[in-house]
Amino acid sequence: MLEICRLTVVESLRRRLTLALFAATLLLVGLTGWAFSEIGRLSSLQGVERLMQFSVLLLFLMLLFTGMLALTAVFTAAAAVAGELESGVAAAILARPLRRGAYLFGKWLGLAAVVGGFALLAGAGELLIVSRVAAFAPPQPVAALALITAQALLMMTLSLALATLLSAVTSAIISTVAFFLVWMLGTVDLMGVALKYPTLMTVGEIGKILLPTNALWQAAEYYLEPGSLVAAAQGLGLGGNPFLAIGPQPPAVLIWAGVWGGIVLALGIWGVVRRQI
Amino acid sequence: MAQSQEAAAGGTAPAAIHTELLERRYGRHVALHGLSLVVPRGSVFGFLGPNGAGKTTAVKLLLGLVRPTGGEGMVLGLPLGEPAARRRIGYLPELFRYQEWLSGREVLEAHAALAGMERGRRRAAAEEALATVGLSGEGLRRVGAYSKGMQQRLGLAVALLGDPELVVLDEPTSALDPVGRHDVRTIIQNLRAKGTTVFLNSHLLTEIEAVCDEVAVLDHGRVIAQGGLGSLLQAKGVDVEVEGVSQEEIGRLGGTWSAPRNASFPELAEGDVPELVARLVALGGRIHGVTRRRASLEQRFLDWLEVR
Repeated sequence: MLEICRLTVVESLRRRLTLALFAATLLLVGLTGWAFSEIGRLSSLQGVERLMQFSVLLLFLMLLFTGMLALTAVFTAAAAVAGELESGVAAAILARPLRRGAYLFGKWLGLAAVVGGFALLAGAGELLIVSRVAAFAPPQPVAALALITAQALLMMTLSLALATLLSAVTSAIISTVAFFLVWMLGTVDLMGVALKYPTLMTVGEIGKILLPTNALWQAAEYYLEPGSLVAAAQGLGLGGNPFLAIGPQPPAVLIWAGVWGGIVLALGIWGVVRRQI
Repeated sequence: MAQSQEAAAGGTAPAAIHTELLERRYGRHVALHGLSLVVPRGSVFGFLGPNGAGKTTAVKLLLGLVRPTGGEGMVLGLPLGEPAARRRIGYLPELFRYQEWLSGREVLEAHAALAGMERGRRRAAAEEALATVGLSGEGLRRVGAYSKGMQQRLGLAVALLGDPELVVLDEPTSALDPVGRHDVRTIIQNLRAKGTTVFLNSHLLTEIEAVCDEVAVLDHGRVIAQGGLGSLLQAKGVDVEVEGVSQEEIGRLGGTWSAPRNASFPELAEGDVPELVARLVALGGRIHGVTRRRASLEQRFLDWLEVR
Protein backbone atom coordinates (compact mmCIF):
# COMPACT_ATOMS: atom_id res chain seq x y z
CA MET A 1 0.00 0.00 0.00
CA LEU A 2 2.76 2.45 0.92
CA GLU A 3 4.56 1.59 -2.33
CA ILE A 4 1.42 2.51 -4.30
CA CYS A 5 1.20 5.74 -2.31
CA ARG A 6 4.85 6.49 -3.09
CA LEU A 7 4.38 5.73 -6.79
CA THR A 8 1.32 8.01 -6.91
CA VAL A 9 3.29 10.92 -5.45
CA VAL A 10 6.27 10.21 -7.73
CA GLU A 11 3.91 10.15 -10.72
CA SER A 12 2.54 13.59 -9.85
CA LEU A 13 6.11 14.88 -9.54
CA ARG A 14 7.34 13.30 -12.77
CA ARG A 15 4.31 14.32 -14.76
CA ARG A 16 4.90 17.87 -13.53
CA LEU A 17 1.50 17.98 -11.85
CA THR A 18 3.04 19.23 -8.60
CA LEU A 19 5.04 21.79 -10.55
CA ALA A 20 1.85 23.02 -12.22
CA LEU A 21 0.07 23.17 -8.87
CA PHE A 22 2.97 25.08 -7.35
CA ALA A 23 2.89 27.55 -10.24
CA ALA A 24 -0.88 27.88 -9.79
CA THR A 25 -0.31 28.60 -6.09
CA LEU A 26 2.17 31.38 -6.86
CA LEU A 27 -0.20 32.88 -9.42
CA LEU A 28 -3.16 32.67 -7.12
CA VAL A 29 -1.35 34.19 -4.16
CA GLY A 30 0.19 36.91 -6.33
CA LEU A 31 -3.14 37.91 -7.87
CA THR A 32 -4.89 37.88 -4.50
CA GLY A 33 -2.21 40.11 -3.00
CA TRP A 34 -2.45 42.48 -5.94
CA ALA A 35 -6.29 42.60 -5.75
CA PHE A 36 -6.33 43.35 -2.03
CA SER A 37 -3.56 45.90 -2.36
CA GLU A 38 -5.40 47.75 -5.17
CA ILE A 39 -8.76 47.71 -3.42
CA GLY A 40 -7.17 48.86 -0.16
CA ARG A 41 -5.54 51.73 -2.06
CA LEU A 42 -8.57 52.77 -4.09
CA SER A 43 -11.39 52.20 -1.62
CA SER A 44 -12.53 55.09 0.51
CA LEU A 45 -14.50 52.88 2.92
CA GLN A 46 -13.49 52.80 6.57
CA GLY A 47 -14.31 50.90 9.76
CA VAL A 48 -16.98 48.20 9.58
CA GLU A 49 -17.71 48.92 5.93
CA ARG A 50 -14.08 48.35 5.00
CA LEU A 51 -14.07 45.17 7.08
CA MET A 52 -17.19 44.02 5.28
CA GLN A 53 -15.65 44.80 1.91
CA PHE A 54 -12.51 42.77 2.65
CA SER A 55 -14.49 39.95 4.16
CA VAL A 56 -16.76 39.58 1.13
CA LEU A 57 -13.83 39.83 -1.25
CA LEU A 58 -11.90 37.17 0.67
CA LEU A 59 -14.92 34.87 0.76
CA PHE A 60 -15.46 35.34 -2.97
CA LEU A 61 -11.81 34.50 -3.73
CA MET A 62 -11.83 31.52 -1.40
CA LEU A 63 -15.06 30.28 -2.97
CA LEU A 64 -13.42 30.39 -6.40
CA PHE A 65 -10.39 28.69 -4.87
CA THR A 66 -12.52 25.82 -3.56
CA GLY A 67 -14.01 25.41 -7.04
CA MET A 68 -10.53 25.29 -8.51
CA LEU A 69 -9.45 22.81 -5.85
CA ALA A 70 -12.45 20.60 -6.55
CA LEU A 71 -11.66 20.49 -10.27
CA THR A 72 -7.99 19.75 -9.54
CA ALA A 73 -8.93 16.96 -7.14
CA VAL A 74 -11.50 15.44 -9.46
CA PHE A 75 -9.36 15.32 -12.60
CA THR A 76 -6.19 14.23 -10.80
CA ALA A 77 -7.93 11.32 -9.07
CA ALA A 78 -9.88 10.20 -12.14
CA ALA A 79 -6.77 10.14 -14.33
CA ALA A 80 -4.65 8.39 -11.70
CA VAL A 81 -7.07 5.52 -11.18
CA ALA A 82 -9.00 5.01 -14.42
CA GLY A 83 -5.89 5.75 -16.49
CA GLU A 84 -3.96 2.99 -14.77
CA LEU A 85 -6.82 0.49 -14.87
CA GLU A 86 -7.59 1.14 -18.54
CA SER A 87 -4.03 1.27 -19.85
CA GLY A 88 -3.01 -2.10 -18.45
CA VAL A 89 -0.45 -0.75 -15.96
CA ALA A 90 -2.72 -1.99 -13.15
CA ALA A 91 -2.79 -5.56 -14.56
CA ALA A 92 0.91 -6.03 -13.84
CA ILE A 93 0.60 -4.36 -10.42
CA LEU A 94 -2.48 -6.31 -9.30
CA ALA A 95 -0.87 -9.59 -10.34
CA ARG A 96 1.47 -8.96 -7.41
CA PRO A 97 0.55 -10.08 -3.87
CA LEU A 98 -1.37 -6.89 -3.22
CA ARG A 99 -5.00 -6.70 -2.12
CA ARG A 100 -7.07 -4.46 -4.33
CA GLY A 101 -8.32 -2.55 -1.31
CA ALA A 102 -4.71 -1.78 -0.38
CA TYR A 103 -4.04 -0.70 -3.97
CA LEU A 104 -6.90 1.79 -3.95
CA PHE A 105 -6.18 3.04 -0.45
CA GLY A 106 -2.53 3.54 -1.44
CA LYS A 107 -3.73 5.60 -4.41
CA TRP A 108 -6.01 7.58 -2.10
CA LEU A 109 -3.18 8.32 0.31
CA GLY A 110 -0.84 9.47 -2.46
CA LEU A 111 -3.49 11.65 -4.08
CA ALA A 112 -4.51 13.03 -0.70
CA ALA A 113 -0.89 14.07 -0.10
CA VAL A 114 -0.76 15.91 -3.44
CA VAL A 115 -4.26 17.45 -3.41
CA GLY A 116 -4.27 18.13 0.34
CA GLY A 117 -0.76 19.61 0.13
CA PHE A 118 -1.86 21.93 -2.67
CA ALA A 119 -5.02 22.95 -0.78
CA LEU A 120 -3.11 23.73 2.41
CA LEU A 121 -0.19 25.49 0.72
CA ALA A 122 -2.24 27.63 -1.65
CA GLY A 123 -4.93 28.33 0.95
CA ALA A 124 -2.38 29.36 3.57
CA GLY A 125 -0.62 31.50 0.98
CA GLU A 126 -3.90 33.26 0.19
CA LEU A 127 -4.67 34.04 3.83
CA LEU A 128 -1.09 35.11 4.57
CA ILE A 129 -0.87 37.50 1.64
CA VAL A 130 -4.23 39.04 2.55
CA SER A 131 -3.18 39.56 6.17
CA ARG A 132 0.13 41.06 5.03
CA VAL A 133 -1.23 43.34 2.27
CA ALA A 134 -4.60 44.36 3.73
CA ALA A 135 -4.03 43.74 7.43
CA PHE A 136 -7.16 41.58 7.35
CA ALA A 137 -6.89 38.25 9.17
CA PRO A 138 -9.74 35.73 9.46
CA PRO A 139 -10.46 34.70 13.04
CA GLN A 140 -9.86 30.95 12.65
CA PRO A 141 -7.70 30.38 9.57
CA VAL A 142 -6.55 26.87 10.55
CA ALA A 143 -10.10 25.56 10.96
CA ALA A 144 -11.14 27.23 7.71
CA LEU A 145 -8.19 25.73 5.81
CA ALA A 146 -8.84 22.29 7.29
CA LEU A 147 -12.46 22.42 6.10
CA ILE A 148 -11.52 23.65 2.62
CA THR A 149 -8.94 20.85 2.36
CA ALA A 150 -11.51 18.33 3.57
CA GLN A 151 -13.86 19.53 0.83
CA ALA A 152 -11.16 18.92 -1.80
CA LEU A 153 -10.48 15.46 -0.34
CA LEU A 154 -14.16 14.56 -0.51
CA MET A 155 -14.26 15.51 -4.19
CA MET A 156 -11.07 13.52 -4.78
CA THR A 157 -12.62 10.50 -3.04
CA LEU A 158 -15.79 10.70 -5.11
CA SER A 159 -13.88 10.89 -8.39
CA LEU A 160 -11.51 8.10 -7.32
CA ALA A 161 -14.42 5.81 -6.44
CA LEU A 162 -16.19 6.47 -9.75
CA ALA A 163 -12.96 5.91 -11.67
CA THR A 164 -12.75 2.32 -10.46
CA LEU A 165 -15.69 1.49 -12.73
CA LEU A 166 -15.96 4.36 -15.22
CA SER A 167 -13.55 6.07 -17.60
CA ALA A 168 -11.48 9.02 -16.39
CA VAL A 169 -13.47 11.57 -18.36
CA THR A 170 -16.86 10.22 -17.25
CA SER A 171 -15.79 10.05 -13.59
CA ALA A 172 -14.42 13.59 -13.65
CA ILE A 173 -17.49 15.01 -15.38
CA ILE A 174 -19.95 13.29 -13.05
CA SER A 175 -18.00 14.50 -10.01
CA THR A 176 -17.78 18.06 -11.35
CA VAL A 177 -21.49 18.18 -12.14
CA ALA A 178 -22.28 16.81 -8.67
CA PHE A 179 -20.07 19.47 -7.06
CA PHE A 180 -21.74 22.38 -8.82
CA LEU A 181 -25.21 20.88 -8.44
CA VAL A 182 -24.73 20.68 -4.68
CA TRP A 183 -23.39 24.22 -4.74
CA MET A 184 -26.65 25.28 -6.40
CA LEU A 185 -28.66 23.30 -3.87
CA GLY A 186 -26.73 25.12 -1.13
CA THR A 187 -27.85 28.40 -2.64
CA VAL A 188 -31.44 27.11 -2.76
CA ASP A 189 -31.06 26.29 0.95
CA LEU A 190 -29.90 29.85 1.68
CA MET A 191 -32.83 31.22 -0.29
CA GLY A 192 -35.11 29.05 1.82
CA VAL A 193 -33.57 30.54 4.97
CA ALA A 194 -33.92 34.10 3.64
CA LEU A 195 -37.52 33.55 2.54
CA LYS A 196 -38.31 31.30 5.49
CA TYR A 197 -39.57 28.69 3.02
CA PRO A 198 -39.17 25.15 4.48
CA THR A 199 -39.40 23.26 1.17
CA LEU A 200 -36.35 25.03 -0.20
CA MET A 201 -34.48 24.37 3.03
CA THR A 202 -35.36 20.68 2.80
CA VAL A 203 -33.99 20.54 -0.73
CA GLY A 204 -30.78 22.13 0.57
CA GLU A 205 -30.58 19.60 3.42
CA ILE A 206 -30.92 16.73 0.94
CA GLY A 207 -28.04 18.22 -1.03
CA LYS A 208 -25.89 18.30 2.11
CA ILE A 209 -26.59 14.61 2.71
CA LEU A 210 -25.92 13.54 -0.86
CA LEU A 211 -22.62 15.41 -1.11
CA PRO A 212 -21.53 17.44 1.92
CA THR A 213 -18.95 19.59 0.12
CA ASN A 214 -21.03 22.78 0.17
CA ALA A 215 -21.79 22.25 3.84
CA LEU A 216 -18.03 22.14 4.47
CA TRP A 217 -17.63 25.37 2.53
CA GLN A 218 -20.33 27.05 4.61
CA ALA A 219 -18.56 25.84 7.75
CA ALA A 220 -15.24 27.23 6.48
CA GLU A 221 -16.95 30.49 5.52
CA TYR A 222 -18.00 31.11 9.12
CA TYR A 223 -14.39 30.74 10.31
CA LEU A 224 -13.18 33.20 7.69
CA GLU A 225 -15.52 36.02 8.76
CA PRO A 226 -14.59 38.60 11.40
CA GLY A 227 -16.48 37.98 14.66
CA SER A 228 -17.77 41.55 14.82
CA LEU A 229 -19.33 41.21 11.38
CA VAL A 230 -21.02 37.92 12.31
CA ALA A 231 -22.33 39.43 15.55
CA ALA A 232 -23.73 42.45 13.66
CA ALA A 233 -25.38 40.18 11.08
CA GLN A 234 -26.83 37.98 13.83
CA GLY A 235 -28.18 41.11 15.56
CA LEU A 236 -29.87 42.25 12.37
CA GLY A 237 -31.20 38.75 11.70
CA LEU A 238 -29.43 38.60 8.35
CA GLY A 239 -29.25 35.12 6.91
CA GLY A 240 -29.44 33.39 3.61
CA ASN A 241 -26.52 35.24 2.07
CA PRO A 242 -23.95 33.15 0.20
CA PHE A 243 -21.19 35.50 1.36
CA LEU A 244 -22.26 35.71 4.97
CA ALA A 245 -22.53 32.70 7.27
CA ILE A 246 -24.11 33.79 10.51
CA GLY A 247 -23.38 30.62 12.44
CA PRO A 248 -21.19 27.52 12.44
CA GLN A 249 -22.39 24.31 10.84
CA PRO A 250 -23.69 21.80 13.38
CA PRO A 251 -21.14 19.09 14.36
CA ALA A 252 -23.42 16.47 12.83
CA VAL A 253 -22.74 17.98 9.39
CA LEU A 254 -18.98 17.67 9.87
CA ILE A 255 -19.29 14.15 11.24
CA TRP A 256 -21.48 13.18 8.29
CA ALA A 257 -18.86 14.60 5.89
CA GLY A 258 -16.27 12.25 7.43
CA VAL A 259 -18.63 9.28 7.34
CA TRP A 260 -19.61 10.13 3.76
CA GLY A 261 -15.95 10.10 2.72
CA GLY A 262 -15.46 6.72 4.39
CA ILE A 263 -18.53 5.24 2.70
CA VAL A 264 -17.53 6.50 -0.74
CA LEU A 265 -13.98 5.20 -0.33
CA ALA A 266 -15.40 1.82 0.74
CA LEU A 267 -17.61 1.84 -2.38
CA GLY A 268 -14.52 2.60 -4.46
CA ILE A 269 -12.74 -0.38 -2.93
CA TRP A 270 -15.79 -2.53 -3.67
CA GLY A 271 -15.68 -1.24 -7.25
CA VAL A 272 -12.04 -2.12 -7.81
CA VAL A 273 -12.46 -5.52 -6.14
CA ARG A 274 -15.36 -6.34 -8.46
CA ARG A 275 -13.66 -5.03 -11.55
CA GLN A 276 -12.31 -7.50 -14.09
CA ILE A 277 -8.80 -6.31 -14.90
CA MET B 1 -9.08 -32.21 -6.38
CA ALA B 2 -6.14 -32.34 -3.95
CA GLN B 3 -5.72 -36.06 -4.61
CA SER B 4 -5.64 -35.65 -8.36
CA GLN B 5 -3.15 -32.87 -7.93
CA GLU B 6 -0.82 -35.14 -6.04
CA ALA B 7 -1.32 -37.85 -8.59
CA ALA B 8 -0.50 -35.42 -11.34
CA ALA B 9 2.76 -34.57 -9.70
CA GLY B 10 3.70 -38.11 -8.70
CA GLY B 11 2.41 -37.68 -5.14
CA THR B 12 5.22 -35.38 -4.05
CA ALA B 13 4.08 -31.82 -4.59
CA PRO B 14 0.98 -30.22 -6.00
CA ALA B 15 0.99 -29.39 -9.68
CA ALA B 16 1.99 -25.85 -10.58
CA ILE B 17 -1.46 -25.27 -12.01
CA HIS B 18 -4.52 -27.42 -11.62
CA THR B 19 -7.97 -26.35 -12.75
CA GLU B 20 -11.24 -28.21 -12.92
CA LEU B 21 -14.08 -27.05 -15.14
CA LEU B 22 -12.99 -23.46 -14.82
CA GLU B 23 -15.49 -21.21 -16.51
CA ARG B 24 -15.86 -17.52 -17.21
CA ARG B 25 -19.02 -16.02 -18.66
CA TYR B 26 -19.67 -12.41 -19.61
CA GLY B 27 -23.43 -12.28 -19.74
CA ARG B 28 -24.42 -14.78 -22.41
CA HIS B 29 -20.95 -14.99 -23.88
CA VAL B 30 -18.85 -17.86 -22.57
CA ALA B 31 -15.21 -16.73 -22.74
CA LEU B 32 -13.90 -19.92 -21.17
CA HIS B 33 -15.81 -23.16 -21.06
CA GLY B 34 -14.90 -25.77 -18.44
CA LEU B 35 -11.11 -25.55 -18.52
CA SER B 36 -9.49 -28.55 -16.85
CA LEU B 37 -5.72 -28.42 -16.86
CA VAL B 38 -2.83 -29.93 -14.99
CA VAL B 39 0.51 -28.23 -15.48
CA PRO B 40 3.30 -30.25 -13.85
CA ARG B 41 5.97 -28.42 -11.90
CA GLY B 42 9.11 -27.68 -13.84
CA SER B 43 7.45 -28.07 -17.23
CA VAL B 44 7.17 -25.59 -20.06
CA PHE B 45 3.47 -25.65 -20.86
CA GLY B 46 2.19 -24.21 -24.10
CA PHE B 47 -1.29 -22.83 -24.17
CA LEU B 48 -2.28 -22.20 -27.73
CA GLY B 49 -5.27 -21.32 -29.75
CA PRO B 50 -6.49 -18.87 -32.36
CA ASN B 51 -7.25 -15.25 -31.54
CA GLY B 52 -10.27 -14.93 -29.28
CA ALA B 53 -10.05 -18.55 -28.11
CA GLY B 54 -10.07 -17.51 -24.44
CA LYS B 55 -6.35 -17.87 -23.68
CA THR B 56 -5.90 -14.49 -22.04
CA THR B 57 -9.10 -14.95 -20.03
CA ALA B 58 -7.69 -18.24 -18.75
CA VAL B 59 -4.41 -16.56 -17.79
CA LYS B 60 -6.23 -13.79 -15.95
CA LEU B 61 -8.30 -16.35 -14.08
CA LEU B 62 -5.14 -18.14 -13.00
CA LEU B 63 -3.70 -14.88 -11.69
CA GLY B 64 -6.88 -13.80 -9.94
CA LEU B 65 -7.30 -10.73 -12.16
CA VAL B 66 -10.67 -12.10 -13.27
CA ARG B 67 -12.97 -14.16 -11.08
CA PRO B 68 -14.36 -17.46 -12.40
CA THR B 69 -18.11 -17.87 -12.82
CA GLY B 70 -17.72 -21.63 -12.42
CA GLY B 71 -15.25 -24.37 -11.56
CA GLU B 72 -12.21 -24.11 -9.36
CA GLY B 73 -8.45 -24.07 -9.53
CA MET B 74 -5.22 -24.09 -7.62
CA VAL B 75 -1.96 -22.36 -8.48
CA LEU B 76 1.19 -23.47 -6.65
CA GLY B 77 -1.04 -25.33 -4.21
CA LEU B 78 -3.18 -22.31 -3.32
CA PRO B 79 -6.65 -21.28 -4.50
CA LEU B 80 -6.90 -18.96 -7.50
CA GLY B 81 -6.40 -15.30 -6.65
CA GLU B 82 -4.61 -15.99 -3.36
CA PRO B 83 -2.02 -13.22 -2.84
CA ALA B 84 0.43 -15.68 -1.26
CA ALA B 85 0.55 -17.59 -4.56
CA ARG B 86 1.06 -14.40 -6.54
CA ARG B 87 4.18 -13.74 -4.48
CA ARG B 88 5.72 -16.75 -6.27
CA ILE B 89 4.44 -15.95 -9.77
CA GLY B 90 5.96 -13.76 -12.45
CA TYR B 91 3.59 -12.41 -15.10
CA LEU B 92 4.03 -10.74 -18.46
CA PRO B 93 0.62 -9.46 -19.63
CA GLU B 94 -0.39 -9.55 -23.26
CA LEU B 95 -0.95 -5.77 -23.18
CA PHE B 96 2.25 -4.89 -21.39
CA ARG B 97 2.24 -1.34 -20.11
CA TYR B 98 4.48 0.02 -17.40
CA GLN B 99 4.72 3.45 -15.80
CA GLU B 100 6.30 5.49 -18.58
CA TRP B 101 7.35 8.17 -16.11
CA LEU B 102 9.62 5.72 -14.29
CA SER B 103 12.96 4.36 -15.49
CA GLY B 104 13.16 0.69 -16.37
CA ARG B 105 15.08 -0.01 -13.18
CA GLU B 106 12.55 1.91 -11.09
CA VAL B 107 9.71 -0.17 -12.56
CA LEU B 108 11.54 -3.31 -11.52
CA GLU B 109 12.33 -1.97 -8.06
CA ALA B 110 8.68 -1.02 -7.58
CA HIS B 111 7.60 -4.54 -8.58
CA ALA B 112 10.22 -5.99 -6.27
CA ALA B 113 8.72 -3.93 -3.43
CA LEU B 114 5.19 -5.02 -4.34
CA ALA B 115 6.35 -8.64 -4.43
CA GLY B 116 7.59 -8.24 -0.86
CA MET B 117 11.32 -8.38 -1.59
CA GLU B 118 13.54 -6.87 1.09
CA ARG B 119 14.70 -3.35 0.30
CA GLY B 120 18.40 -4.28 0.24
CA ARG B 121 17.93 -6.87 -2.51
CA ARG B 122 15.79 -4.85 -4.90
CA ARG B 123 18.47 -2.96 -6.81
CA ALA B 124 20.56 -6.08 -7.46
CA ALA B 125 17.49 -8.11 -8.46
CA ALA B 126 16.43 -5.36 -10.87
CA GLU B 127 19.87 -5.20 -12.46
CA GLU B 128 19.98 -8.98 -12.79
CA ALA B 129 16.58 -9.08 -14.46
CA LEU B 130 17.57 -6.28 -16.85
CA ALA B 131 20.73 -8.20 -17.79
CA THR B 132 18.74 -11.40 -18.38
CA VAL B 133 16.49 -9.74 -20.94
CA GLY B 134 19.27 -7.81 -22.65
CA LEU B 135 18.49 -4.38 -21.24
CA SER B 136 21.72 -3.81 -19.33
CA GLY B 137 22.68 -0.20 -19.74
CA GLU B 138 19.09 0.84 -20.45
CA GLY B 139 17.86 0.69 -16.86
CA LEU B 140 18.16 4.41 -16.18
CA ARG B 141 16.17 5.50 -19.23
CA ARG B 142 12.51 6.42 -18.84
CA VAL B 143 10.15 3.68 -20.00
CA GLY B 144 8.36 6.30 -22.12
CA ALA B 145 11.51 6.48 -24.27
CA TYR B 146 11.68 2.68 -24.76
CA SER B 147 10.71 1.09 -28.07
CA LYS B 148 7.81 -1.37 -28.05
CA GLY B 149 10.25 -4.28 -28.15
CA MET B 150 12.24 -2.87 -25.23
CA GLN B 151 9.02 -2.48 -23.25
CA GLN B 152 8.20 -6.12 -23.87
CA ARG B 153 11.69 -7.08 -22.75
CA LEU B 154 11.11 -4.98 -19.63
CA GLY B 155 7.84 -6.84 -19.08
CA LEU B 156 9.75 -10.08 -19.32
CA ALA B 157 12.24 -8.74 -16.76
CA VAL B 158 9.31 -7.90 -14.45
CA ALA B 159 8.05 -11.47 -14.85
CA LEU B 160 11.47 -12.96 -14.09
CA LEU B 161 12.19 -10.70 -11.12
CA GLY B 162 13.15 -12.53 -7.94
CA ASP B 163 13.21 -16.07 -9.41
CA PRO B 164 9.49 -16.93 -9.29
CA GLU B 165 8.40 -20.58 -9.18
CA LEU B 166 5.90 -20.05 -11.97
CA VAL B 167 6.33 -17.67 -14.89
CA VAL B 168 3.21 -16.84 -16.90
CA LEU B 169 3.99 -15.32 -20.28
CA ASP B 170 1.09 -14.06 -22.36
CA GLU B 171 2.22 -13.65 -25.98
CA PRO B 172 5.79 -12.81 -24.87
CA THR B 173 7.21 -12.17 -28.34
CA SER B 174 4.43 -10.18 -29.98
CA ALA B 175 6.57 -7.03 -30.23
CA LEU B 176 9.97 -8.67 -30.69
CA ASP B 177 12.15 -9.05 -33.77
CA PRO B 178 13.67 -12.47 -34.66
CA VAL B 179 16.67 -11.82 -32.41
CA GLY B 180 14.34 -10.98 -29.54
CA ARG B 181 12.30 -14.12 -30.17
CA HIS B 182 15.44 -16.21 -30.10
CA ASP B 183 16.45 -14.55 -26.82
CA VAL B 184 13.06 -15.35 -25.31
CA ARG B 185 13.44 -18.98 -26.36
CA THR B 186 16.83 -19.10 -24.65
CA ILE B 187 15.40 -17.50 -21.51
CA ILE B 188 12.59 -20.08 -21.39
CA GLN B 189 15.07 -22.93 -21.86
CA ASN B 190 17.16 -21.52 -19.01
CA LEU B 191 14.07 -21.33 -16.81
CA ARG B 192 13.32 -24.98 -17.56
CA ALA B 193 16.90 -25.89 -16.66
CA LYS B 194 16.41 -24.16 -13.28
CA GLY B 195 13.19 -26.09 -12.67
CA THR B 196 10.90 -23.08 -13.06
CA THR B 197 7.45 -23.82 -14.45
CA VAL B 198 6.62 -21.75 -17.52
CA PHE B 199 3.07 -21.23 -18.73
CA LEU B 200 3.43 -19.92 -22.25
CA ASN B 201 0.35 -18.46 -23.83
CA SER B 202 0.83 -17.98 -27.54
CA HIS B 203 -0.68 -18.39 -30.95
CA LEU B 204 2.79 -18.61 -32.50
CA LEU B 205 3.09 -22.33 -33.15
CA THR B 206 6.80 -22.37 -33.94
CA GLU B 207 7.45 -20.73 -30.61
CA ILE B 208 5.42 -23.36 -28.76
CA GLU B 209 6.95 -26.22 -30.76
CA ALA B 210 10.47 -25.01 -30.04
CA VAL B 211 10.25 -24.84 -26.24
CA CYS B 212 7.22 -26.62 -24.81
CA ASP B 213 6.98 -30.05 -23.20
CA GLU B 214 3.21 -30.12 -23.08
CA VAL B 215 0.46 -28.19 -24.74
CA ALA B 216 -3.24 -27.54 -24.45
CA VAL B 217 -5.14 -26.23 -27.44
CA LEU B 218 -8.03 -23.91 -26.81
CA ASP B 219 -10.72 -22.91 -29.25
CA HIS B 220 -13.92 -20.99 -28.57
CA GLY B 221 -13.32 -21.31 -24.85
CA ARG B 222 -12.90 -25.12 -24.89
CA VAL B 223 -9.82 -27.35 -24.73
CA ILE B 224 -9.80 -29.38 -27.94
CA ALA B 225 -6.47 -31.18 -27.47
CA GLN B 226 -4.06 -31.64 -24.61
CA GLY B 227 -0.95 -33.70 -23.91
CA GLY B 228 2.80 -34.09 -24.36
CA LEU B 229 4.07 -32.39 -27.47
CA GLY B 230 5.90 -35.57 -28.61
CA SER B 231 2.80 -37.75 -28.54
CA LEU B 232 0.54 -35.07 -30.02
CA LEU B 233 2.82 -34.57 -32.99
CA GLN B 234 3.47 -38.24 -33.59
CA ALA B 235 1.95 -39.48 -36.84
CA LYS B 236 1.38 -42.91 -38.32
CA GLY B 237 3.71 -44.09 -41.07
CA VAL B 238 7.36 -44.27 -42.03
CA ASP B 239 9.46 -43.33 -45.02
CA VAL B 240 12.15 -45.82 -46.00
CA GLU B 241 15.10 -45.09 -48.23
CA VAL B 242 15.65 -48.42 -49.88
CA GLU B 243 16.99 -50.00 -53.11
CA GLY B 244 16.86 -53.51 -54.55
CA VAL B 245 13.14 -54.04 -53.96
CA SER B 246 10.54 -53.88 -56.73
CA GLN B 247 7.54 -51.56 -56.80
CA GLU B 248 5.19 -54.58 -56.63
CA GLU B 249 6.91 -55.94 -53.53
CA ILE B 250 6.69 -52.50 -51.88
CA GLY B 251 3.01 -52.41 -52.79
CA ARG B 252 2.38 -55.85 -51.23
CA LEU B 253 3.90 -54.53 -47.99
CA GLY B 254 1.43 -51.60 -48.05
CA GLY B 255 3.80 -48.99 -49.39
CA THR B 256 4.20 -46.75 -52.40
CA TRP B 257 7.15 -45.19 -54.11
CA SER B 258 7.19 -41.50 -53.29
CA ALA B 259 10.52 -40.76 -54.97
CA PRO B 260 13.39 -42.79 -56.44
CA ARG B 261 14.71 -45.06 -53.63
CA ASN B 262 12.02 -43.66 -51.28
CA ALA B 263 9.13 -45.84 -50.20
CA SER B 264 6.31 -44.53 -48.05
CA PHE B 265 4.29 -46.68 -45.65
CA PRO B 266 1.59 -44.22 -44.49
CA GLU B 267 -0.48 -46.66 -42.41
CA LEU B 268 2.38 -48.42 -40.63
CA ALA B 269 2.15 -48.32 -36.85
CA GLU B 270 5.24 -47.46 -34.84
CA GLY B 271 5.56 -50.99 -33.44
CA ASP B 272 5.62 -52.59 -36.89
CA VAL B 273 8.78 -50.80 -38.07
CA PRO B 274 11.27 -53.61 -37.13
CA GLU B 275 9.10 -56.20 -38.92
CA LEU B 276 8.97 -54.05 -42.08
CA VAL B 277 12.72 -53.56 -42.06
CA ALA B 278 13.28 -57.33 -41.62
CA ARG B 279 10.98 -58.16 -44.56
CA LEU B 280 12.63 -55.58 -46.83
CA VAL B 281 16.04 -57.02 -46.00
CA ALA B 282 14.72 -60.57 -46.63
CA LEU B 283 13.57 -59.43 -50.06
CA GLY B 284 17.13 -58.32 -50.81
CA GLY B 285 16.58 -54.66 -50.14
CA ARG B 286 19.44 -52.44 -49.03
CA ILE B 287 18.17 -49.89 -46.53
CA HIS B 288 19.79 -46.47 -46.31
CA GLY B 289 17.43 -44.87 -43.82
CA VAL B 290 14.12 -45.13 -41.98
CA THR B 291 12.25 -41.98 -40.93
CA ARG B 292 9.23 -42.00 -38.65
CA ARG B 293 6.72 -39.39 -39.64
CA ARG B 294 6.08 -36.44 -37.33
CA ALA B 295 3.38 -33.86 -38.03
CA SER B 296 4.22 -30.20 -37.68
CA LEU B 297 2.41 -28.42 -34.91
CA GLU B 298 0.87 -26.17 -37.52
CA GLN B 299 -0.60 -29.17 -39.38
CA ARG B 300 -1.85 -30.70 -36.15
CA PHE B 301 -3.30 -27.40 -35.05
CA LEU B 302 -5.26 -27.04 -38.29
CA ASP B 303 -6.43 -30.68 -37.97
CA TRP B 304 -7.70 -30.02 -34.41
CA LEU B 305 -9.58 -26.93 -35.46
CA GLU B 306 -11.18 -28.83 -38.35
CA VAL B 307 -12.17 -31.72 -36.07
CA ARG B 308 -13.98 -29.27 -33.84
